[in-house]
Parts: sequence; structure tokens; C-alpha cells
Amino acid sequence: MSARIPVAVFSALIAMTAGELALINLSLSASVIVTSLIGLAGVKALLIAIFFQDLKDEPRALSSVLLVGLGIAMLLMVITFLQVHTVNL
Amino acid sequence: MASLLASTSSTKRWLFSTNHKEIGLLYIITSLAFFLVAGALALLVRWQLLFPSGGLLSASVFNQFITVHGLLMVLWVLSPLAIGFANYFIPLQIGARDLAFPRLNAMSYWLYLFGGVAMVLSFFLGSAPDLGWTLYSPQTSSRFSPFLGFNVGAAALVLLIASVTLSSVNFIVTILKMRAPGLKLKYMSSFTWAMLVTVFMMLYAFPSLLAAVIILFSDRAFGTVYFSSIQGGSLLWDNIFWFFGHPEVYIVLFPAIGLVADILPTFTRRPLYGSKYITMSMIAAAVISFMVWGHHMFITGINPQVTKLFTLTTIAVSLPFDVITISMIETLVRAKIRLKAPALFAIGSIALFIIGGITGVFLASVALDTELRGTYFVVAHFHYVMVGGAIMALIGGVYYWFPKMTGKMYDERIARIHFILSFIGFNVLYFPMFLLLDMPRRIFTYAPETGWGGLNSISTVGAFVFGLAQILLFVNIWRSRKLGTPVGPNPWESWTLEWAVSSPPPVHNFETIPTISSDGVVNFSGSTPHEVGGGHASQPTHLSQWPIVMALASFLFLLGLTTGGTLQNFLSVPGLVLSAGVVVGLVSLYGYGRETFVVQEDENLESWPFQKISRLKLGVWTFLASEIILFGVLIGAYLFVRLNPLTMSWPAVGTVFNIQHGATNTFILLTSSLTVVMAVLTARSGSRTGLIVSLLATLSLGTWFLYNKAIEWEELAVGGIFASHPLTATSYYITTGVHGVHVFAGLAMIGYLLVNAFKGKYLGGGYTTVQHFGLYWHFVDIVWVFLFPLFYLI
Repeated sequence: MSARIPVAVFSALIAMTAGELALINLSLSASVIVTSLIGLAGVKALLIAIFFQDLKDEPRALSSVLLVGLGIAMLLMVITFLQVHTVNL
Repeated sequence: MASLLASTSSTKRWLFSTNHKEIGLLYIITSLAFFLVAGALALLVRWQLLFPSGGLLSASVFNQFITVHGLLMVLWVLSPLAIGFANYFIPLQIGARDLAFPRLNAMSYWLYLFGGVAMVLSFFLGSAPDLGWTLYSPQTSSRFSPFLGFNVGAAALVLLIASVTLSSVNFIVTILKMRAPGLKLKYMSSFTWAMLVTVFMMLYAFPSLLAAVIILFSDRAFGTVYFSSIQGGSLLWDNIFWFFGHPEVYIVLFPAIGLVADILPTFTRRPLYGSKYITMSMIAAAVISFMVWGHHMFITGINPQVTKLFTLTTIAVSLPFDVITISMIETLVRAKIRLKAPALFAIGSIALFIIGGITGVFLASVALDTELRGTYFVVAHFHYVMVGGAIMALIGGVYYWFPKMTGKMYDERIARIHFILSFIGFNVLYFPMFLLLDMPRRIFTYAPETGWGGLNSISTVGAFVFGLAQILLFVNIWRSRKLGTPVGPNPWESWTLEWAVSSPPPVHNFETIPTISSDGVVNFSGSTPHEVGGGHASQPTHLSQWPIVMALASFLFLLGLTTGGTLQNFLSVPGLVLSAGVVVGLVSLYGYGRETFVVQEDENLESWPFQKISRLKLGVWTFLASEIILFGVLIGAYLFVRLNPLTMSWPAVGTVFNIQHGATNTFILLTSSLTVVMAVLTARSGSRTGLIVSLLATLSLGTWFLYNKAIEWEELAVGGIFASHPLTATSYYITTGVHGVHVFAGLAMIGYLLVNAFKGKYLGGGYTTVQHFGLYWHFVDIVWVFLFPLFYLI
């Protein structure tokens, strides 16, 4: 494996981070900014996992183990979010 | 072979063994010892409640006893007893020579033991935890529970969670990568299947408890306010704790189900009815169990729509158990059952679990739960599940496998008396509690006019019958170990693989590697003979001192930390304990790393679906799956308080957190990820200089990251962030603090890699070690990729 792909991925990560910094100075609605920032973070995480951690070359079952973990964490966040936004205090 | 091992009675062997059977025995003996301690506490609690206005225990002592009883039973008895069986029998049942990582296995045991010691020690440090095993916060905050003993209890939990996580990784890799040739997943025994489901649940559930304990300890020791603020508070604790707590019920139960599913076919002489559906049901229940935690929170004021969702999922989770119990009953119907002790305990366990399960369905109803919550009805329900369903089956397991572990048969007469007294005592103890519908849990006394006296008296009589009956178990074990009739390999004429070897099994388990043909027949002929050492190619003695030393270091470090020790006050007693932990830890890390302890990785083992991935890499990835949950919960806690409508204001972007600091650290970590990739590439291509330069660059970048972070932390503290924005400070310090600890751990690993890289290691085919480290380092980077926008840009 040559260093070309990792360097390209690294450049993309740096560019996206610069994009994140630029984004907060644009006159966009808060929801657009938040969604874009979380989306960019997600893309960066995927790039690192796929190319730096070589997940692209691993069996799908391995990704499943990780995705289950991610799904469980997301489930907790979503349901607690639903609770807290309608809590009867 | 035997000459390579220290003698059976040798202290050295028990302290330093990494052999799965010996570790298994240690787990079984230790969990039974904690069973005695926790049982004694329960008897004292029941004595206190024998009559109205009982005077044996004060309110404080009663609360401590009931809390530690619950924690010990759930966390230090039930699961560890199952883990003990799993240690001893899973390698035998799958045709392996040991677990995938023997030294980690030994460390798991010692962490578990030291955790239990810390929990018991908490009694002697002001007060043990005293608010019930659910440790509801903010009652458990330092304001209401100021005692050091509580902090030490937190340390005990951290040690236990570390133990459980290491065990989970070890068993997952072992079962998925080390099955004998031909042993497809569908041929695995019920117990091994049950343990596989259990350890996956442990992997995903326990990080939530770890997050809860970290936050709680931080609130108590460092003044953060997650659980003492109205935005977080009890509702946040409830969510995080029960996200672990409800799956924990099935974590406790599944091994028992697997055991019963192994015992029934043996003693009915017929295959388990619907065994495939039992396995599928356990998987289904495991998945659903992560969606039911809210039914513990029906009366907390959460959204009624959400309670409906949890009612549905709670009823849904009961359905797989219907399949399981019906399959077991169908196995028994019209069977010629050999009513030996294991069968008696297994059948008794099914009967009691049915009662516990049905009464649990009542609690899925919001209306009924509102009435019954916090009463003795709930106490009866969960004891029918966890003692009746789980402990009875596990005791059946002790009798079932006793001949295999010792080569001797237990005394059947004593075992039957044990069962009869246990079954009667259990029902006399817990059934009256179903009728105490109006008696609140966790009250240390009650007035005569409440009318609860009669039922409490009956219950206490049952408790002593049940408790004293357990002495028969210990008498039987002790007596039969010496005087029992010698048995052959398969006294029960059972069909699973552990019965194919001698009783007790040889150190290396199998003389030849078993192979399983497509029709499920086991073949021992013509296989590759095992070499001396049985899976410990470089350590034929199976001994290593480093697991116990490393666990001791963790114990000392956490004990010192939780009793107020810091490196600044290292001359105080807690400081000395903490410093000792640090020193012993460094020595043990060095020794652990230097010790050559290679476990041979055989070809041709059944390892679908992970044929193309090494054991170590699968282990690292599995560990990272648990880390996802840990950081997921921490980020979830941050979102919980940040998005809470009660959080009136959150500092605007750039007003508190310096974007420049965050951006600089992001660029640093991203660059360090690239240097790790370069380290892997240069190692693979055989360039020693390239590897050293890449690792040094990563070390420098990681250190720079932590330096920047330290400066930022100080600036924020000096700027008074805790006074102006306590909740913002809390979420920031805890989340980035835990991340920072991960970076620090990564730097320690790089240091170790560098030392070896200078010696010329990791070049060519040895690059995989650097690659495995890279998986961890990139994960730490990914976490920061999310923390940066969450704290600095939004």
C-alpha cells in the first residue's frame, strides 16, 4: 500500500476541518450549521475508519459488531432526548 | 506435562496461573465465597424485619447491608459464577486449548477479586454505599452521602467493569475464532451459545455503568454537577444506569438458561426441544433488552408516549422467554427423567423463573407499575427471576460439572436434601413478599399496626431455611472432593464435548485436536497432536506473575485516588497508596510487555465469519466496540443537559471555549493519525528509521495535544468557568477528561512501541502490532472529531 491514499484522506480531513471553521462564520440558520457540522464530523469519522483503520478490507461481520455498538449508543441518545423534551416537571 | 506445572497445592500456581480451568475454579470458589458474604448480609436484614420494630440493625447499617447485598449478589456472585463455568468449560466445549488471551483472562479474575475486596472494604471507611444497588443519584452525591466508603465502592465498580470488559473481549474472540475444525456455530452447545450472547451484552451494557460511575465519582470528588443539577439530576442517572441495569438482568439469566438447556437433554435422554429457537430467542431478547430500560422510570414523569413505547418493548421482551420456557417444558413432557440433583435444580429453576417472569409482565403496565413500584412485590418478582431462575440453575451447574472438575461424584443424598430445603425455603422466603403489596422496599423497620408482621415473620423463617440449606452445598463439595466415588470421563452419558476428556481434564484439554464432521460426530483420530504447553507456546508452565501484579496496581491506584490521594500529597496514607499503585503499575506494564507469552494461533480452526482476521485484531476491534458505547453515553449525557428545556442558556460559540485551541488540537490529532499510518507502512516495508521517526512524530503530536489541553483547562479554571457556567464546565471537563486519559494511554503504548522499535522489532511481518495500536489511536482521533464541533463550534 502506498502513502498516496492516506495523504489524500488526510488532506480531505484537513480541508473539512477548515470547512467547519468557515461554516460557523457564514450567515446560515443555526439548524443548518449544526446539521452540517455533525454531518462533516460523521464523514470525517467514516474516512478515518474506512481508510486509516482499514475497515474497507475487513469482513462485514466486523463492521456489524461496531455498528451494533453505534446503534445502541444512538438509541440511548434518541430516546433520552425524546424523554427530556417532554418531561412533565 | 505435569512436571512443567507447579504442584496442585502450590500457592504460586494459584496466584500466577493463566490456565483457563484454574482461573475458572478461582472464579467459582470466589463467587461462592461472595455468595456466603452477601447471603449473610441478607439474613441479617431478614432478622431485622422478623418482627415489627426490630432492633438488631440501625437504619444506616440496614441500608448499607441491603445495598452491598444487592451489589455483591448481582455483580460479584451471579455473573462471575457463570464466568467461572465459562472459563472452565467453553474451551472444552469448543475443542480449544485455552482462551484466546490467557494472561488477560487471569487479569480479569484478579480485577474481579480486588473489586470485591474494595466493596467489602468500603464498610470500614465511614460507610459502605447505602442507597440500594441502583445507587440513585443525586442521593449518592457527596452532599447526601459524604463517606469515603462510597468512593471506594465506586472504585470497586470500576475494577469490576474492567474485569468484565476484558472477559467479554476474551470470550468473544475465543468462541468466534477458536472452535475445533468443523464445529460450526450451529453445533455449539447451548451453554456456549448462551455465553456468547451474554458476553456481547456485557460488552455493550457495562460501558454505560462505567460512564455512570465516572460521572458520579467526578461529581463527588471534583465538584462537577451532572447529577446534582436540575437539568441532569436523577433522570439522567436513571437513563444511564438502567440502560445498563435492565440488560444486566438477562446477562445474569442467560448463562443459567444455557446451563438448563445443557442439563435437560442429558437427564431426559432426548434432544432439547426447539434448541434452534431457544438460541434465536436469546438473541432476540438480547436485542430487545436494550430497548426496555424506561420501564424502570414510569413514575419519573417522562413523556407518556415514551412510556407506551417502553410498555410495548417490555411485553415484547417477554415473548422470547415464552418460547424458551415452552421448549424446556416440552423437553420434559413424557420424558423418562433421571431426577439427579442437576436435573432437580434445573427443573426447579424453570418453575421459579416462570413465576418471576409472569409477575414481571405485570410491571410492564404503567398503571400496575405505578401502584407496585418500590414495594415488596417488586422484590419478590426480581428474586424469583434472579435467585429462582439464575442461582438455582447455577447451583445445578455446580453439581452437573462437579464430577468433571474433580474426578469425583458428589453425595447425591445430601444434594437432594439441599434441593428440597432450598426450593421450600425459597418459596417460603419470597412468596409472602408478593402479598406485601403495600410494604415499601428498603425500610429498616415497621410499626405493628401496619399488619406486615406475620408475612415478614414467615419470610424470615424461609430465609433461614434457604440460607442454611446452602451450607449443605459447601459440605457436599468439601466432603466429596476427598471422599467422592471416582468417576470416568462421562458419568452422565452426556453429549457435549467436555465429557469426551478425562475427569478432571488434562492441562492441555485434548490429546488430539477434535474435528466435527458434517453430521455433528466428533472425531479424535488422525488429528494433529498438541505440543507440550498446550497453546502457550512460550509459556508451557501457564504461569505469569504480571496479571495479578497489574490488577493489584489498579486496585492500589483506585483505592488511593478514591480516598483522597494525589501525587501532590503523596506523603499522606492515600497518597502513598496511590503512588504505590503508580509505581507497581509501571513495573508491571514493563514486565508484562517484556514477557514472551505467545499463544499459538492454529490454522484450520472454525472461525466463521472472522477467518481473515487475527485474534488480536478482533480483540482490539471488539474492545473498541465497547468504547463506542462509553463515549456514546458521555456524549449522550452532554446532549441530555444541553438540549434540556430547563437549560436556559449555553455560552455562545467562542465566548468560553477558545476555538483556536480546539482547532489546533484537531489538526494535531488528525496529523498524528497520518503519522501512525506512516508508522504502519514503514514497518511493513522494513524501514526501521521510518518506523522510529513516525512513532516519534506521533508521540510528539500526542504530547502536544495534551499540553494544549492542559493549558486550556487551566485557562478555563482561572477564568471561573465553574462559577459562570457549571453545567457547561461539567460536560466539558468530564468528556474531554476521559478522552484525554485515552490519549495518555495511547502515549504510553507508543513509548512501549518505540522501545521495541529501537531494538528492531515490528519490521516486515511484525508490523501488525503497530497496526493494532493504530486502530486504537484512530478511534481516539474519531472521538475528538465529534468533540471538537460539539464543544467549540455549536
